[in-house]
Amino acid sequence: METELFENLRLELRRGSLTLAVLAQLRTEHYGYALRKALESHGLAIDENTLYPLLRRLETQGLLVSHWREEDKRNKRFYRLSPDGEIILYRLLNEHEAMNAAIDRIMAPIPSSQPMETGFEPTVLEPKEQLQ
Amino acid sequence: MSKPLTDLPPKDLIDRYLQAVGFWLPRAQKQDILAEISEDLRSQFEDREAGLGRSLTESEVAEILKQRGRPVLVASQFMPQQRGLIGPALYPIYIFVLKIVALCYVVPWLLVWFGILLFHRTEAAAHLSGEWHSLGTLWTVVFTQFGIVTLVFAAIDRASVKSPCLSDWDPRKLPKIRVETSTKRCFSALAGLVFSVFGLLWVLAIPQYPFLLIGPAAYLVKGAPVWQTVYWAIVLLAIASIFEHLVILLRPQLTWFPPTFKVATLLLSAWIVNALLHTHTYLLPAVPEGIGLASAMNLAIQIASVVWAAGLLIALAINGWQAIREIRRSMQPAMPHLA
Repeated sequence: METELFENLRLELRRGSLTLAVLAQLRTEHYGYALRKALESHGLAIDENTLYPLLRRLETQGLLVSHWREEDKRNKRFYRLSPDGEIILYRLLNEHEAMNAAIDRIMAPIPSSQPMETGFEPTVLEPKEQLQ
Repeated sequence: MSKPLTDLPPKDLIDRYLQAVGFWLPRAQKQDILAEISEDLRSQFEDREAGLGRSLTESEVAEILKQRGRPVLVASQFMPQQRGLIGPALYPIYIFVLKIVALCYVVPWLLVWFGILLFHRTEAAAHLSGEWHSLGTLWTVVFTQFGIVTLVFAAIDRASVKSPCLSDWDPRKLPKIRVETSTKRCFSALAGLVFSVFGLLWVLAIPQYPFLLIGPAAYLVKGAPVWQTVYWAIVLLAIASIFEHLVILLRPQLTWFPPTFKVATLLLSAWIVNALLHTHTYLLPAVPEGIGLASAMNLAIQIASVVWAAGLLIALAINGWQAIREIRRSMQPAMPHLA
């Protein structure tokens, strides 16, 4: 039950981050497989069954533009960020940074001089525990 | 031991996988999505082969395809995502079953209902109330059937979320590729052309030799004046059929042409049927013994005209829709064919 709950929350958290990562990576033109590899090389593996529908959705929303082009004697569909996509990307990045900063502040150890209203001792997670 | 990929029929397993995915995809985006999945798969295979320094075996290809997921699940990711009763995994199958229900029940029922309505068109409006009432019954039954299908799928969806059968499958058991070769298409168009030419000759010969149409009955009955009105249109239809097959044979790439031309010929057919529905006399007795036969054949032709009219309406709707789709597709930039 706990694992399932964690998995659902993890997927929810990941969904938004993936969109941001894809938009950021597509500031330079990539075709699908090259994009997957590029994201993977940055530590963000993405399943092809998630990536391609996401690319189509972002293109429908006007955030990406694409075209088919022959490369290495094979037709490939190349994607890149549209002008609207660039605006959205930078707004999202600002939002992401603000959220990260807020979470960092929330997770920062509370100075021992300030007693907690709840009466409980704050627990500071070690990095390893945070990842689990 | 697994066979190396190069010894297999070319790309057989991948093509079978793509065919299976394509079966569940919306037709408008099918080619485009499959081309992209195909390219991604090939890149992945090349990468793996480069890493291994050898060709992939059949088992390795099957394993990669298995990791991709069942074709229906892969296709479902490209469908509109909804959070309703039916989850994305079962959604394409659900739509497929609804289409079958509509095709096997709603379309035949509508055809019969429309035929009955046309048959009674000349009678008093009061007599039509029964037909209108039966149309209401049809929709009740349709909604009930769709409702039952939806509930069954919702139940399966709830039960199958964690089912191991979603990941436990074998790409090697996918159906063989269905290929429509250019030779087959060419042969089909050629056969159509030959039959059309014979059809035209037959239509031209009927006024002189009516037994070609009604057999020995030609000695007892003769055509009513309505045939003189519609005969030129029937000849035109036969010529149009020759033209259509010639174009299909010589310009097979014009995919918008057959449905568009079919709409034009169906409209001409509709004009003929309209003329036939405005009379009750199609055949006259040629001799006194033919009175009974003429009467029976007139009734048969009238019923046939009603059914023909209903069929024409459905054919017009289908071909009109196909024509619009093909014209729009031909106006779009060229889509790559699957490698």
